[in-house]
Parts: sequence; structure tokens; C-alpha cells
Amino acid sequence: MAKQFSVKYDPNFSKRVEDKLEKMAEEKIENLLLNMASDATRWSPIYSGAYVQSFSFQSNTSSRGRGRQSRKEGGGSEADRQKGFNNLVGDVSKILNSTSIVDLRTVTLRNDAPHAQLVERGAQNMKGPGPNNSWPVFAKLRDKYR
Amino acid sequence: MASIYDDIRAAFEVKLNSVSGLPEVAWENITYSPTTGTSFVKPRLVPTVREPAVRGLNPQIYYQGIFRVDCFVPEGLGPAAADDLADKIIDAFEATTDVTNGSTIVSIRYAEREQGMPDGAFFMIPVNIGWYIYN
Repeated sequence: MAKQFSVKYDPNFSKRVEDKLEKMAEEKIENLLLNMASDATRWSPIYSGAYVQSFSFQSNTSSRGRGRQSRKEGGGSEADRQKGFNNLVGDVSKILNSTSIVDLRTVTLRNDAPHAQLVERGAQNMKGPGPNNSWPVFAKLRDKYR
Repeated sequence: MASIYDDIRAAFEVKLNSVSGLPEVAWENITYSPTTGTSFVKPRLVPTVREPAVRGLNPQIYYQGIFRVDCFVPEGLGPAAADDLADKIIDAFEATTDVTNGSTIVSIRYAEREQGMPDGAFFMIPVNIGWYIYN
């Protein structure tokens, strides 16, 4: 008696594999971006709270970032750190919800506070939490995630 | 037991101190008043990662971070002096080499500089030296 074995072609198979891979990639990228968001806000100094709230994630399909002016009298708190983190979490979900992972080319973390450069590098006459100090937040992020 | 960070810092500071032609050094957390017209460097140890290298009990720990050296030269005299200073630091801490302090061997991942910028009476170029060590 003849024996046979046939495989039924599933026209949706490649699509299902593609969807699965896209989902896995999306989860990986989401985790990476959330870890970066956590580190960036955790490593930021808090003086007025403006710097830590000025982080944003930008994708190749999104527009401008957010920047806050520092108040001279300080007054920032740990709540500002949480707000900064929440801003970034919002950016991540906006990017991943609005852009297909296949079309996502770059995601950039930026800080548009007017004093972002001073925070990163310090300055001899810098006002704020400690003269001459700098908080090399972006150098640390590049070191950890390069 | 001394912290591994003390040994890492010592390894870098000893190496930095041995660089020939190095100007004054503004060591971390030591009061230093820059003299206008006199170059100086300002090193800092910036740890970024401390995590188990493997799973299981009593794992070896992986440490990673930056040894940052800000190179200050007098303002208004062009970038050449700062470039030379940054190059000297990069050459001394070239990627894939090690710095040692006793039995502590810290490996260099990369040595790179950033863009220079005016800073008060100085022009400053930051040099970042990436490092790692298993302990």
C-alpha cells in the first residue's frame, strides 16, 4: 500500500513568523529604551528640575524635543526625576505605537534644556548644585549602551 | 578590604601622573584654584556598571566606567595646545591596553575625545577613557 506524507501549505505562515519577529524586536527595543530612560533620569542632577524634565526620545519620524528653562532659585525635587522618567516612557510608547518597527531607523535621546551643555561638561563659573562640577550623563550613557 | 574602586582609581591616577609633559593636575575632591594662563587637567573616575559576570552563587563581578580627563588650556590661543594635551592622554590610555595597580589590572575599552569648548578663562577638551575589570 502506498504511503504518503503531505505538508499543507499555510499561506499565512510567513506573515505569522514576520509578526512574531517584529513583536520580539519591539519588546527588545522597548526594554533598551526604558533602561536608558531610567539611567538618564537617575544620573541627572536635580537643582531646579528643569534638566531632568527636558529629556526626550526622538525617532526618525518624530519632531522636536522638549526643553525647560532652569529657575534660578532651584526648588527641584525627586518628583521632577519621576516626571522626567514618565515623559520618556510616554515618548517610547508614542514612538512604538506610531511607527512600525520595520520603519524605525534611529531613536535619539536628547536634552533640550538651555543649560544641558553646562550640566554635561560643567563650567568654572557654573551656578547650581556645586561649582565647577559636571554630570557627564550622556558620556555615561554612551559608555553603557555603546 | 579596600574597595575595588580605590584600586581602579589608583591605577588610573598613577598612570596619568606618569604621562610626560603633563601640566598641573586638579585631583578629584582636592581644592584647586586654576591660574589664568596655566594649563591643567582635571581627572575623574565615573563608574557606570557593576553587575555579576555570571549566574550562580558568589559570582565574579563585572565593573565598567569612564576615567574622564578634562584638558584645560588658556583661552584665545587656538586649539593646538588643547589638541596636543588630549592626544597625549589618549596615547597614554590607548584602547586594548591595561593600567595596573598591584594585582589590579584594568582594561581600556576605548579612549576618545569630545569637541572643545570655551570655559571661562580656558578652552577645554574632555577625554573619555572607557574601562572594565572583572573582580
